[in-house]
Amino acid sequence: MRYSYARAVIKLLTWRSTGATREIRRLLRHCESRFAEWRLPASSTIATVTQELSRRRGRPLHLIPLALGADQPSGLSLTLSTMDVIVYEAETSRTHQEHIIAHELAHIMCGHTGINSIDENVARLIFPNLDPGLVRDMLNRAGYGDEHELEAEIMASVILRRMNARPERTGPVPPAEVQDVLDRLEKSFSSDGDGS
Amino acid sequence: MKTDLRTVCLVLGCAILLYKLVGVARGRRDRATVVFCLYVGLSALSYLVLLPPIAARLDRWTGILQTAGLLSGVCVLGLTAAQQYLLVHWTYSPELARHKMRRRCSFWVLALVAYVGTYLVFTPGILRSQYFYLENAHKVWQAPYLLIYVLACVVGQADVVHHCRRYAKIADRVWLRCGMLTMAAGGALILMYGTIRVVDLVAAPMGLDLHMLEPVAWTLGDAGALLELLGWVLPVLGPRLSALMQWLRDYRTYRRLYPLWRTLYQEVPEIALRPSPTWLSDVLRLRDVSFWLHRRIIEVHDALRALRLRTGDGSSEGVPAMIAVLVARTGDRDSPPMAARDRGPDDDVTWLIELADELVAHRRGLPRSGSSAEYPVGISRRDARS
Repeated sequence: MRYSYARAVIKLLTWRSTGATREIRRLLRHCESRFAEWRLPASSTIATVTQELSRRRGRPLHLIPLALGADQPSGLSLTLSTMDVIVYEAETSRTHQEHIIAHELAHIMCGHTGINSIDENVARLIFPNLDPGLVRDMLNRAGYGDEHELEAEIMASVILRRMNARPERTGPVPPAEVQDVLDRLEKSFSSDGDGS
Repeated sequence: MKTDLRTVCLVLGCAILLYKLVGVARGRRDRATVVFCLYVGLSALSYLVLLPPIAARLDRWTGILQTAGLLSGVCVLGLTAAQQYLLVHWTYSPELARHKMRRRCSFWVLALVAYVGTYLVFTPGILRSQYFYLENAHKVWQAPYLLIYVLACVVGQADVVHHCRRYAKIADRVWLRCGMLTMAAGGALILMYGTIRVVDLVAAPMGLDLHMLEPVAWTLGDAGALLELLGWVLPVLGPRLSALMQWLRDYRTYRRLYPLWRTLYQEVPEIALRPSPTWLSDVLRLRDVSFWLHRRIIEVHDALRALRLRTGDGSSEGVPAMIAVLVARTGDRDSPPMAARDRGPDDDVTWLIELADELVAHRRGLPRSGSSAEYPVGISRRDARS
């Protein structure tokens, strides 16, 4: 009894995250630094991120809300010849919708590729008039089985966390002379060592 | 009260000085940081020398009565000069600040020399007393150092209040604004202390007894100094405090959603990124809590969406009754306080916590308190109306 208790205490004291959790943390750091390179303001919206991705790819990116139903993926991205399309579940909370969109944006950001032919049932449901031959690529959010899905899911969380972060600074941009005063104040009060 | 406040000021001053010195040791040796260290160090020293055992030893060592008073006064004048340096440094461009500081430095050096000189020439003849100012104020021509000290304090603190109010107005960061307002409030209290001292100097020669104002004067002075110290650190420590509070809120929400998540995960294991954590590892998940909280919220939504398919035909076959009711509530447009698509992040979290709490209460066989008390998990509001 005493032995098993001691073993439990040792196990608790030496507890470390599992390999899977470590892998998620590694991907989280990777996604955070990758998204930070975009230098988007802290209070960006999903529309801002979409526009930025569209600008970077040099092609339009359309978001289409649809009542997909629980038997369909909650979101999917289609790469067409002239544009990108993201379809997402309309019948869910805004947070969930934004996450689904961010997941699909993450696939495009990370350059993931999926199946080269569109599922006929999905195509009929979503785009009754779309020629499946026009679809160059399709990815959907239906599970986290492979590495791409995991990365997209984590990147989506990074995007959403950044979006939902409350902006530290408030109000409009001040005039230059006021900004100079604020810069000197902030430099004095910063704790990162870059003094004036 | 007086001693308590002074001890707090001393401890706080030492703590801030230690924190800033760590920054200096790490290579941050710009002039503003060094002057800030000087300010905090002098503030702590001014209280240290006034501690009765230290004051008595100082008198014995130097052979001068009230050495502690002299040193404390020098520290206060020195820290006021350091404050002036920082205010000028923040307000003006480097070239203009250098020019203005040269003039102000001359003023403060002159004030210090005059203060020390007159103190040594007109050494106070009385032993330490809590009414030191009052007992010397009636013969101000024999104690001109009191006048120099009080006027220098008033001029310096008026400048602190004026500038800090201005900084608070333009500050675009909450904690910077809080710090500047706290500093301005501290300066205002010290100004009140200075005003009482001026009244002492004017009224005492007329024979008026102002002893009853002494406790108020000391409290105002010490509370003002404490607020100023706090004001200088709030812009640095405030964001860390906010981050800590956010972490606590996130962790609490993360843990409150665990019963709901666990119940849904048992039905739809695919929702988790990787094999589910044990109860213990879930409790010990202390890093990246905001990420794991976001994951929990999304995974709950994913599970509810997946389960809507299974319960969509109304049969709910193979789905535990409790889950079926939960899922029905998510599809019931009248049940949640607002339609799902209209819920923002905060509303969504509130709604999920409500679901989780209902689940826990239902398992324990307890009625739910609050707005949803009359609708136990087994009955939707629509059912309740009919």
